Amino acid sequence: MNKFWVTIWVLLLICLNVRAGEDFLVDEFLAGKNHPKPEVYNYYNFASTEYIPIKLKVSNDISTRDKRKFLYGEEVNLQVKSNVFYKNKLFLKKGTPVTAKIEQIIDSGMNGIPYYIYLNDFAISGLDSSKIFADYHKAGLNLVYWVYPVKWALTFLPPSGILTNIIKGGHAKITSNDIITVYYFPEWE
Amino acid sequence: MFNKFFILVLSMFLTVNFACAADNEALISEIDIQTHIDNIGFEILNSNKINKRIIFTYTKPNKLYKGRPEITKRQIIVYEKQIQYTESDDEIAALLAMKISDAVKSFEDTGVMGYLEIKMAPKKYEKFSDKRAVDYMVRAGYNPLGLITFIHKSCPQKRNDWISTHNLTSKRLAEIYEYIFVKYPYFLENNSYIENPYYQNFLLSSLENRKILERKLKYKTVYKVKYE
Repeated sequence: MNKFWVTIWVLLLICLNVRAGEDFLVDEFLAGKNHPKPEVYNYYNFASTEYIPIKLKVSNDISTRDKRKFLYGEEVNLQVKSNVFYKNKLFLKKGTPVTAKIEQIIDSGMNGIPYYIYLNDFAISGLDSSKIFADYHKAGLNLVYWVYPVKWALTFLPPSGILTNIIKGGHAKITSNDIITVYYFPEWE
Repeated sequence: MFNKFFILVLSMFLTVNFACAADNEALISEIDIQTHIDNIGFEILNSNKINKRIIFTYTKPNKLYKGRPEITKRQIIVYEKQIQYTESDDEIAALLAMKISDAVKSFEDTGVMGYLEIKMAPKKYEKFSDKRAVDYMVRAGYNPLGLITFIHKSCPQKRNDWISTHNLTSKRLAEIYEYIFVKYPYFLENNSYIENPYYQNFLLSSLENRKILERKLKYKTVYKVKYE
């Protein structure tokens, strides 16, 4: 039986023309493109408590309902929702372009778990990105709060509790009405 | 008679002393490991600006913590056996980053439902934790391929995951590889793990899944693919 599997593997390797020690995907899709090294935030000093809240809104709605699934790290365009003042001076003008990246999308799941969208890596023109503190995510309609009690109530009538598995949570949507607040710490290093 | 008594006392004293020295060495070794884990763990928290309180506890296998303390108490337990699988700081960071991700997620909903959501959909959140761990590692300056080698060495491959609370390890690895490929290609282009035997074994055992990813990239499909 083992010999059979070894033969299958050898044939498969020959068919795929894979040479040991190499990653064919890297050779095929990444070679020679020189992708930049991701930024590392190893130096920090969080002593200062002074911060400027910046309210943002998305330029175009983002929804997990969109048939085109988002790629990891896809850029999202946002803009500053209203003028931001710091020490009685205009710090950021309304409409200043901002970019962020889709960090993660969690699909909806059994028992009413909704979709989630996580945004991160906010970049505001003219500001140091390492001084921006942001922790934004949005969930769709969360049905967990009533599905679980129903599931537990049905536990006494097995296997009817399983029926709640088919209930899924709602899609996550970030619209221009949603206010995304990020914080800029001007004295952070 | 007097000499014999002294020799006996001296030999007893030396025996006790050696035993204490051995205990001390073990203790110092444990303190060193705990300090190393703390250094890496807090580096990840700071680099990712995680403003939540999370602690790291290194423990021997004889003390088992019930449930998932990373979600309930935001205490990340690192067992001796898990550390035995690590060879570099990248792999220790990988182990911690996965658990930090669970702990951070548990802060989002402080109610009991938030905890239950993670408990009731462990496979979903396992994938989420894996991917977030990659982000955490990259921002803290660690190579995310360490996550692949750590999982490849330490997680067994079950027959299927239909009724399991964990995803098939091969699926997890394929999704992590895809995530790194799409979001952080730099690490694959400048691959410092290419001569690592565990990484090579991952490449060998993930051949079919990487072929699936190749088809996805070739035809520019953005839909999720099913790995095996």
